[in-house]
Amino acid sequence: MIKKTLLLSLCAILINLSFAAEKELGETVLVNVKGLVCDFCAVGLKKTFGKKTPEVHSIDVSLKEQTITLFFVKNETLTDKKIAKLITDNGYTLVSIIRNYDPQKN
Amino acid sequence: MLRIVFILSALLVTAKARPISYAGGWTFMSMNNWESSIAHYHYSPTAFESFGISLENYNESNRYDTNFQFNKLIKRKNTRTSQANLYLKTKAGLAFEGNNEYFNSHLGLAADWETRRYFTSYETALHYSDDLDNGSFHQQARVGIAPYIAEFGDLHTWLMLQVEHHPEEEQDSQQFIVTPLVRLFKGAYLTEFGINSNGNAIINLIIRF
Repeated sequence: MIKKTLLLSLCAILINLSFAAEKELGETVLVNVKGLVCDFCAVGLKKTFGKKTPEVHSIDVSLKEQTITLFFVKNETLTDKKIAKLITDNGYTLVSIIRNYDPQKN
Repeated sequence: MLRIVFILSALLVTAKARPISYAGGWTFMSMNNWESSIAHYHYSPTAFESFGISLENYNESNRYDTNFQFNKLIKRKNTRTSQANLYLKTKAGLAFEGNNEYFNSHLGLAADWETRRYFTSYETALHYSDDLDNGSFHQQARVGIAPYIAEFGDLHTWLMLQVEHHPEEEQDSQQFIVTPLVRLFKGAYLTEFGINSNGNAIINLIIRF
């Protein structure tokens, strides 16, 4: 009985740990830019927002719409000032930042 | 070691691309044209300048150049549909010919304008090597069109036409060189290939890290 309890407890712990390892998504921010016409040159955006900013879970880049969609980790974000600096540091012109963007609605 | 680099470079021919990468990016480029083979590595601390080293071998002479390079984005104009750039390209170092070594320098301006469909660029350069061929002037222009518009992360294809002008060359076939090219890139990898008007095959490779 004790062994079964211990085994079930261990399984529960492992299941909880596996869910915790995958970060939950939080806020989505849409960034409108100018100059995003070259895919090869835009590779840096993935490097900037993927590796250098742990607050960002992932990004989508649209050359057609001239947008960068930032998917933040839950309870994490970057200020508008920080986002603006990262965009201009990559050589693009910032047009606008839209907070709490819903990709499904738009 | 230099010969190994140049042999590798000989497999990859004339790469021309923006001389500055994204902030914090490393780039390897190989340039191998009718007169030289060049291996170029650069680091871009910002999206506005890059520092690098180039190793150059001149095919018709026993000459090797080792240069430090600095490139600067002078001006960029971004619009909703295009980007235009003006770069200053400089390099300086030593040229080795036989047992002799000479100061070597290069100063150039490069400009490009592109949309998702059209591309055009122009580059001009003054090259000086003390006691070797003194100074030389070169210029080059490209136009290109994308047969289809690709999205971010897709395979991009460009059809390009490059025209080079080397006024100091004695033969007409060497003064003006025309090269139709196909450019492909996906992610951090870019390759170009074609055959120029002198019948030389061209394959380019650029990798961004």
